[in-house]
Amino acid sequence: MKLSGYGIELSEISHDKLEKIRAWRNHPEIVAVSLDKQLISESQQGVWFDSLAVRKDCLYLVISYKDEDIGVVSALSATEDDSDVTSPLLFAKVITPGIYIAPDCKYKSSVLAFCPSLVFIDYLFKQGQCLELNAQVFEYNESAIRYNKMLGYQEGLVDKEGLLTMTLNDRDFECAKQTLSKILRF
Amino acid sequence: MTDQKKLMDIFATALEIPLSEINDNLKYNQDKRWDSTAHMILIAQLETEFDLMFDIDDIIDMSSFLQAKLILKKYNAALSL
Repeated sequence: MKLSGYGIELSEISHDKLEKIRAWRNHPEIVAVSLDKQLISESQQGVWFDSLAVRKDCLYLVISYKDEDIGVVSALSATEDDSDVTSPLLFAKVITPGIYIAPDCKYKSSVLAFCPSLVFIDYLFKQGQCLELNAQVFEYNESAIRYNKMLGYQEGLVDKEGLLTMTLNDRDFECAKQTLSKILRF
Repeated sequence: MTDQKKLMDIFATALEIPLSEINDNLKYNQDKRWDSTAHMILIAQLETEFDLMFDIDDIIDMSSFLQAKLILKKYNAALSL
């Protein structure tokens, strides 16, 4: 699978990129804002990668810009069927997206950081039955909260762990996309 | 108002930092307050206030206050920056 737009490409994770992605994921800057704080071992990374071949409830893609890998986007189904089994992404009404730009990427604080989200969120709303994206962000992560609000997310409640829930529907995303596209003129 | 002052005001507003901290060393990978959202707001304000439309490569390369001055001069050599 390959998605492209706004100057970037999103492509499936290949084996040769596993260590690079693991290094990004285990970087202190990424761990600090991740829901799961555990560091990922090489063997855990291998198990995770092998599972991607059969799992239908998630999607992980590498972001590249001008042939340079610069981050990862992810989507997890947040819908369960009548048997309490997580629905495949294709049938999920609610999806939890994720993104990180590589800590050493020189573009991580630039407008380019919005490009993968514009491509990926557009795909998530169009690929199946998704009605809503549901993101959880630590309330101290002001940068991520601002970023999500630029994409049209609405703020919800903060739970006792300090996690803010933010939700996005297709209408609000399309509105935000129009605004962001005025600057991201690829 | 000089072009330099106008540029500094735009940076201060977009990045929400004091004017006293705006200098050529201000860079987007070295100051946490300059994140992707601030960069987006900055570009929008620069284009409005200076009546310009930047090429996307220049937008992405606008990585510091110094670089902003150089790019603005590229689009309008008459600016006093």
